[in-house]
This record gives sequence, structure tokens and C-alpha cells, in this order.
Amino acid sequence: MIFSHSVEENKFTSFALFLNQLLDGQSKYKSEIDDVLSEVIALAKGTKTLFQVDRDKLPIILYLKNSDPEFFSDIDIQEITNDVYKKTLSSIEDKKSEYNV
Amino acid sequence: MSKRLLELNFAQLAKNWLQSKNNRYSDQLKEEYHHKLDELFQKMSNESFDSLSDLDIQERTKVINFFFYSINFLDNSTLSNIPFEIVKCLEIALKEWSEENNFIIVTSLVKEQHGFSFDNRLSFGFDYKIIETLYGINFENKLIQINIPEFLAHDYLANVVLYHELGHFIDHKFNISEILTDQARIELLTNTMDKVEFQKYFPLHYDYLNGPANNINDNNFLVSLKSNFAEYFCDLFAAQYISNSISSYLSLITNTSLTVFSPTHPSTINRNELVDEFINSKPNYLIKKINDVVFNLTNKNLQFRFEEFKSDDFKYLIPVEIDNDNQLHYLFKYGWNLWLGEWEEFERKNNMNYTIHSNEAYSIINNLIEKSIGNYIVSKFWQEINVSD
Repeated sequence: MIFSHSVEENKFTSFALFLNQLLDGQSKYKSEIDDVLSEVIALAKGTKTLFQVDRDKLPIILYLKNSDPEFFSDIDIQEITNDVYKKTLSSIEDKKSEYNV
Repeated sequence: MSKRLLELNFAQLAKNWLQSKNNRYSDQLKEEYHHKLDELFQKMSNESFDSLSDLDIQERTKVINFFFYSINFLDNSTLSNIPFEIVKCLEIALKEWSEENNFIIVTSLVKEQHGFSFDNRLSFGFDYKIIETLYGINFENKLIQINIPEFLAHDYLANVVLYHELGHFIDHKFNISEILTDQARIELLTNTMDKVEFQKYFPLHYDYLNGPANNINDNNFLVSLKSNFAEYFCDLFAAQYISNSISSYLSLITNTSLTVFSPTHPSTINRNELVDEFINSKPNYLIKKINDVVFNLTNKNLQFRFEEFKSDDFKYLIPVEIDNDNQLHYLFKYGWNLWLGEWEEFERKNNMNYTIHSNEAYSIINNLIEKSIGNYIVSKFWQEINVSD
């Protein structure tokens, strides 16, 4: 169903936009980003299952976790650095490039 | 994206909005949504684009795209030829799976012969967050657009497909096929997948994994697998309400071999057999797999949400009196049974002295379904008013 593809693509492009804003010094979407990362980390560490994470953002959460589970399982949610945001953005940009193929 | 392009987009939006800003709707929720759009437009009009960064421009572009879709959806919903009967049936089903009840269904008539779909571009995602962050406007309700082929707008027998399309919306809301796909990926990686069942339901994917270029994590492979899972789920979702009516319609309209699998869809035979096993409550590997995920996500099982009734009313050209929502959904199965079975009785039971052709019977059944739904909706509405008084 074509619409589901475009809805998912829009989620990824919006999330990339939020990350770019944050790395550019604007924090207005920081809570949205950290909420997603919190879920990714929980999923990677096994403290949450797929059935417990945010429904609307699940495609992003699952994609990030699968992209590098070791990386995300090592992160302390209380101490997310810019490197984590950069790495996350890099993974999201890889996903975005799949939509452009 | 350049500032000039943003200005162009906004100018086009302004022209578009000029035509739509005076729309009126019979539905209070649509009116409220419309007012929010007006508020959003005013705030965007008062904003200067001069000092926006590239990222700021990207944000506004998303808002403008959102606005265009919203106008498009709402414009179509002011038309007087919307089949409210089928919309009401879908609203009742949707309410069971979306208790927060913050979706507004609008409909659009399209030219494509098989153009049934739910457009959920405005139902999910971050657009509402962006609007709230930039302009402080909160849209409490979100739009879902149902697309119906124009010439099938009052074809209730064909409109059974919309229950399947509602299934796609539910799938997207809960990400059911996404989770099923990830589970399958892990089972394939850990060699715990039931290979016989996998080959039966996903033969193309089975062949791929046994071929030279196999890669369980290949994106195209996973996207295709997810699409197939989604179709199986949506058929089961629809079957909860309309029994195997969709199988009847699918078998008639499939213009390729019933055994053909595609990258996006299982074969029609596979789909129909799965629905039959569900209707007959037979133990089934895939049904259990799908139901386990559905239950874990929604706390609901895939189960019959229709109530059979026996009636000869249609044969006497009388609308059926529906007692409850579950009988309402069964109406479609009732109609299909008649058209596939005993519609010739129209002549005998009504002392007709001429022969009815099948296309006339089809039209009669559709009219009777429409009347039956309409009667039920009106009586239900009056009951609810009386109770609230």
C-alpha cells in the first residue's frame, strides 16, 4: 500500500530534521529525540520488548536498534552525547537513502 | 531548499486556501479541524521567511505539505455524494481498535477502478508535533481519508474491500506487520523458523533464501515480507467483520492466476484459504502467529465481530432490521450469500412475471443493504439521543 511507505518515509525525514536541528544548537525537538533514543536503548538492552515501545515511532526505534544493537545497548540514557546524536543521524540518513532508490 | 521555493509553495497554498477557507461541513469535528487550519494559515502569513535557516525552511515545508493534504482531504468531504452508510460501518469497526477516538474519517471518490484505500498520511507521524512546536497549535483530531472508486461508491458488495483497507490502517497504527517481520527475521537468523510453514505462506521469500543471493537482512526482502504479512493480517482483520465476503469478491476480480504470488501480495488462493481456516476456527500456524502479535499489541484477539442472522427479508425486497453493530457487519455477508446463491427467488417470492438478470439482482441487493444500514444508523442515533435525555 503506497501510502504506508510515504508515511514511514515522512517519519524518518522528520526525525532526521529534528536531529539536525539539535546538532545545530536548537533544542526544541530534543525531548522527542531523547524519547525515541530512550526506547531504542531499552530495546537494545532488553529492558523493553517490541510490544512495549512507542507504537507511532516503532519503525524508527526498531530500525535504529537493529542498525547497531551493541552501540545502543552501551549508552546511558542520562548521558547522551553529541556523538550519539551524530551516530543516530548517520543511521537515519542511511535509511532515508533507501527511500530515494 | 531555498527561501524562494518556500515562498512559492506558500503562495500556492494561499491561493488554494482562498478557495477552501469558506468550506462548511455537517460534522463538528471537521469544522474544528478547519478552524485550526485557518489559525495555522494566519500564523504562517504573519511570519517572515527572510531570516530562516535551511533547517527552518525544511520545517515550514513539512507544514505546508501537511496543509495541502488537509485541504485536499477536507475539500472532498464537503461533497454530497459521500456514501455515509459505509463510512458509519467503518467508524464502528474503527472505534473498537482506536478507543481514544481522535480520528476523523473523510472520503474521496477516485477514478481508479480498484482504487480502494485508506490514506493515513495525516494520521501518524511528527507533522502535528512540528506544528505545535512552531506555532503552538494543537490538532486534537487527525484525518483519515478513505478512497473509493467513483463508480463503486454505492456498491456495498464491493465495498467489503474497505474493511481490509481499515486493516491496513490498524496495522499502521500498531505496527503489526513490522513486528511480525522482525520476528520472522530473527527466527530465520537463529534457524528456529518452521520452514514448511514459511515455504507455504511465503514461497517467494523461501526461494530467495535458498537461492544464490540470499540475505536475510536485505532491505527489499524485508519490505516484501512485511507487505505479505500485512496482506494476511488485513484479510483476517476484515474477516472478523465480514466473514469470508472478501474472498468472494477477490476470487471474482483477480485478473491473474489465483496461485500467483507477487512481491507485495500472497496468492489469492493462499489468502482465501487462510480466511476460511479463520472462519472455521481451524488451528493454523500463521493465524496463531498473527494473533499473538495482535493480542500483545492491542490486548484484543482476532475473533468474530459479526453476528449471523437468518432472514428472508431481502428476498421479499424489504430491508433487514438490524439489532446491533455485529449484525450490521454481517449484512455484507448476508448480501453476498444471496447474490452468490438464491437471488432468483426475487421473482418467485414477489410474484414477478418477468425474469430478473443477475446485474439487476446485484443492484437490488446493494439498494437493500444501503437501506438496511441507513435504517439502523437512524434508529441507533435516536436511541442514543433518548438515552442522553
